[in-house]
Amino acid sequence: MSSNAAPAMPPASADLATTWAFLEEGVDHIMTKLQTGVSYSKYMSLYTVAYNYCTSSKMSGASSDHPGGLSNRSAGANLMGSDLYNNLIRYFVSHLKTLREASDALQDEELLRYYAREWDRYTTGANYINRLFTYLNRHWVKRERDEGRKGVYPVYTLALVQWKTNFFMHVQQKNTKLAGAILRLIEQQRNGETIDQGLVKKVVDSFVSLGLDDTDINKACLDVYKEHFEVPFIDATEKYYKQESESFLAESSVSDYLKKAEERLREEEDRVERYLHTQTRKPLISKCEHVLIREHSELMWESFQSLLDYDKDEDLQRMYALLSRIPEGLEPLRKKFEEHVKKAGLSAVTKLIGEGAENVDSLDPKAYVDALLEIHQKNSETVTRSFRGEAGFVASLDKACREFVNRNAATGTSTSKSPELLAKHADMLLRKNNKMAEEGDLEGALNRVMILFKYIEDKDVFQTFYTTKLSKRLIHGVSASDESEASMISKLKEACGFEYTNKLQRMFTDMSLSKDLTDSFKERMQQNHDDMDINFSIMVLGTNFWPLTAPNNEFIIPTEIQPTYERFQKYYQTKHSGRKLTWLWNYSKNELRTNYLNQKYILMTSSYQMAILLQYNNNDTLSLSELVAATSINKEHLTQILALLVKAKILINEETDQYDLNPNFKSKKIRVNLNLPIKAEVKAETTDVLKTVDEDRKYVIQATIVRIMKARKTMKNQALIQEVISQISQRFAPKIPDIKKAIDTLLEKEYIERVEGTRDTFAYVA
Amino acid sequence: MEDQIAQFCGVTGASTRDARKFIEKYKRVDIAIDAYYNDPNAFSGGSRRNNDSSGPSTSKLNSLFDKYKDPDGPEITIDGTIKLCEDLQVDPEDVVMLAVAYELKSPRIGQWNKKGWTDGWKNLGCDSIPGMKVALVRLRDKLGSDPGYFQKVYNHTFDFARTEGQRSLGIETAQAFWSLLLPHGLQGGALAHIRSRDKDEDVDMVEEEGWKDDYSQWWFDFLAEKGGKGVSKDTWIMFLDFVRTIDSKFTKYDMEAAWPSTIDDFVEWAKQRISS
Repeated sequence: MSSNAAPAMPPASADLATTWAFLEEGVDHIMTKLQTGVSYSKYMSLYTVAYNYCTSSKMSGASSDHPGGLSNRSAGANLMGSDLYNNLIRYFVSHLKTLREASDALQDEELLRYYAREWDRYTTGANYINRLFTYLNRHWVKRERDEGRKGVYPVYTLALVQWKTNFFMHVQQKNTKLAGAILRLIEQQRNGETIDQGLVKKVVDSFVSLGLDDTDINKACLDVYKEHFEVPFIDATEKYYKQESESFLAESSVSDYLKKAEERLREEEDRVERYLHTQTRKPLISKCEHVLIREHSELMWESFQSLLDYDKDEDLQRMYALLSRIPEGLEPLRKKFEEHVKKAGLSAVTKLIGEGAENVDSLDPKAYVDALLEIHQKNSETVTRSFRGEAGFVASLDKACREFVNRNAATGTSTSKSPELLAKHADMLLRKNNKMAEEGDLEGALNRVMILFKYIEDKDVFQTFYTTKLSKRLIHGVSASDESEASMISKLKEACGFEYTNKLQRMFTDMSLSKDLTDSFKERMQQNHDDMDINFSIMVLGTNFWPLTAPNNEFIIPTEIQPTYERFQKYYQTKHSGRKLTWLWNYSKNELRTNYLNQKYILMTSSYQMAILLQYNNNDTLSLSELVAATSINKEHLTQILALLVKAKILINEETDQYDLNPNFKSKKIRVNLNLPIKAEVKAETTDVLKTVDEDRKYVIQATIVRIMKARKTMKNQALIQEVISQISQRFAPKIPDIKKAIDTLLEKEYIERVEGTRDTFAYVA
Repeated sequence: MEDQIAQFCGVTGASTRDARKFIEKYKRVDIAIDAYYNDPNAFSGGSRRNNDSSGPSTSKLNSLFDKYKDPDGPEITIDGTIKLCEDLQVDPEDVVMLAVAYELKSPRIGQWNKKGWTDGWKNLGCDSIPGMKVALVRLRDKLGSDPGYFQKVYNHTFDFARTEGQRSLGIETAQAFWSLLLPHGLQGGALAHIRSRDKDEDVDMVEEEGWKDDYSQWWFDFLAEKGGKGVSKDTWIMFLDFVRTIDSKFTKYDMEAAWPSTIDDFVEWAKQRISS
């Protein structure tokens, strides 16, 4: 391609026709056969001619063409620039007409290939042309735009605008031939075919490039992309997935659908990455979510239950992930999950107690606690694994557990049954001889107790039972270890605060003080007396901290222990004058050595048994009334104690109300434990505890009301009740009738009064 | 004259203008002062219904009081009350006596003090047995028909009926007084049903039925069965509100509103009785 065919470079003063003829040839060369190359000199001469034309005409602005003198200088320059500019337009129009005509016969991929190829060539060429007319851009175009003529563009932009009007729009006008071709390719890809993604990307990119913000040409504008591609694309997507998801669900399971939907969503994300503008992600994904998830959410919600029933973890996970993408998608799941957990808990308990309600009384605390824990653990795992520990599901789990832990077949309507059983279970764990007592296990078991404790509504009932049980463990010395006791207390303290465990801690203090007291008493007695054949130890326990009741029966202290009793009494008074000692014979125990039998036994007894048996030091036969007289234990109670001794064959009861010492008593063990609980006492314990709790509650509610009223002065009934509930619910769930009764009491005691003229407002009476 | 006026003012604290009028009429200071205390407004303006000659006379009332007074004490007691009722030809257990007790500020059953007696009758405008009889008719009518007045008498009755030193009223006593008051108020309209303020007031304009006569007996049955030791002042006072606002089926009752819990329990009980 030598320059011999090229026309000679026109002089600087050449007229438009000459100049443009020269320029057009060059422009066309660049636009159509750039691959053949353009020599540097040719490029420079084109540049120079364009430059010359613009500038030289300024000099000759006062020529005959433009009379009017100096004032026309700028008009002249304008004219020069617009000459070139208009010619360029004419060129682009005719150039594009050829392209357009060539495209008319093309369809689909062929059309896209043609379009992409021409686009490449055109934009490359236009780039060169743009540089060629740098001078025009910098001066004439800039001034035109500065003066507000927004329809005038730099040459490259002009080329794009021309492409859009004369080629792009033309093709698109025929049934959106271009976009349609892209959409069909995309659909093919969705159907699983391989397509030329690079081609799609190129064409789509051209849509982006064609967008033009008239006010600021450097700003990206997605008008064309949105109108000609994105909108139809989203529509097509909706149609495609609507159709697909419906027919898929018609013949496949929800589980498979979940997989499918998940896959499709991922694919569409990828699609955006690969060949779409990033701004399409949001509308595309939200449309997909709508069609794939929202439209079928009812169905998913419905099948949620069976996924739960069959522990389909992966499907649950998928369903969660999908539904979490749409607003309100999870709420029905949370509700169903809550219901599911609740049902599981209830049926576990029902199964445990079997058919008859009579099994409730003999319910094994461990079995009960284990059953509840199993349900909690299983579902808690589901929450973590399948629902990613999402707060809403955690709340559902908690709500459900709270429900079935407090109200189930075993509890009936009593909210105190669960705390009672849990406290009893904790007691078993903390006792000596417990199988769980291998340290690691025990700590774990206590932690599990705390899991249920969290759900217990009547924490005060648990507290009372726990205190009672702890006091027994301590008094009878059957606690597994101080360390575990301390650990449990610190867990409770962490959960409910210092006040909750205050008493428990005081009990331990009393125990260690008692140990010291016993030792120092023993030491003192050894110095002063030499008749110490009785081994004595004492626990002095603060009345306010121990749930112990003094015996309500009379008791004559047997002469054998009278001196010890008096010595201690005296010793204690000198140590702590002013303190009153109440002797709790009903909790004391003794060991008696037998001397009347061939084999020497040690009888482990209660104080009452001891008092009875000691009578036989002087008699072999005693009547019931003689025993009553000797011990002062009331008849009814005494009969029960005697029955135990008769059953153990220590005493013989052959005639009515006549008790003889059995001279032929035999036992395999040397140490004989006679100190067994009397049945009535066991049952009474529960009732006592509940009575204590009830009394405490009345007081707590009243005190809370007074505290609130003191702070607020006046308050409406409804608000007051709400406030009381919210302040107390940490300890137990107060019932509204109980609160109202407390209000009645306080009205009557004139702590509060009704505000005159209102029916529902109370005022604090100072 | 001026000395007398000064003396009069010193004792009564009245204006000199009033003092002059009293002295001019009665001449003697002691008599004028007596008259003043009888009716301090005797000379102030003409808006008084009765002129001074027909106004209730303290001395008449005083002598009536002395007639019924316990000879060994400063007050009228049970015996005097019975005698008074005979003279007034009214049953001592007539409901109107509760209104009289309220008017005369009688602190306890069969116990009237002199100040309450004279002030009370004077307010009612009578100083003789025949006048009192007329007043009683008026009071009975007012008590039955005026809700505000009924409430005042009703509230006073609690303190009046209560044994000294007790916070609450024994169930039987309470029942006796309710038996007097409730039928009277229901009959005369003082206890007419007040519709609770519905949010959609204009919708249901059908006449709503309220407390029925039978319910008073239900209330007594309930108290006898579950009422416990007594009726607190709060329950007594709120019960009146309850009777006036409750619908005949107890459906509009709000268990969580500020009613005393005894009334809560009664509504539970009554609903069961209705359904069975």
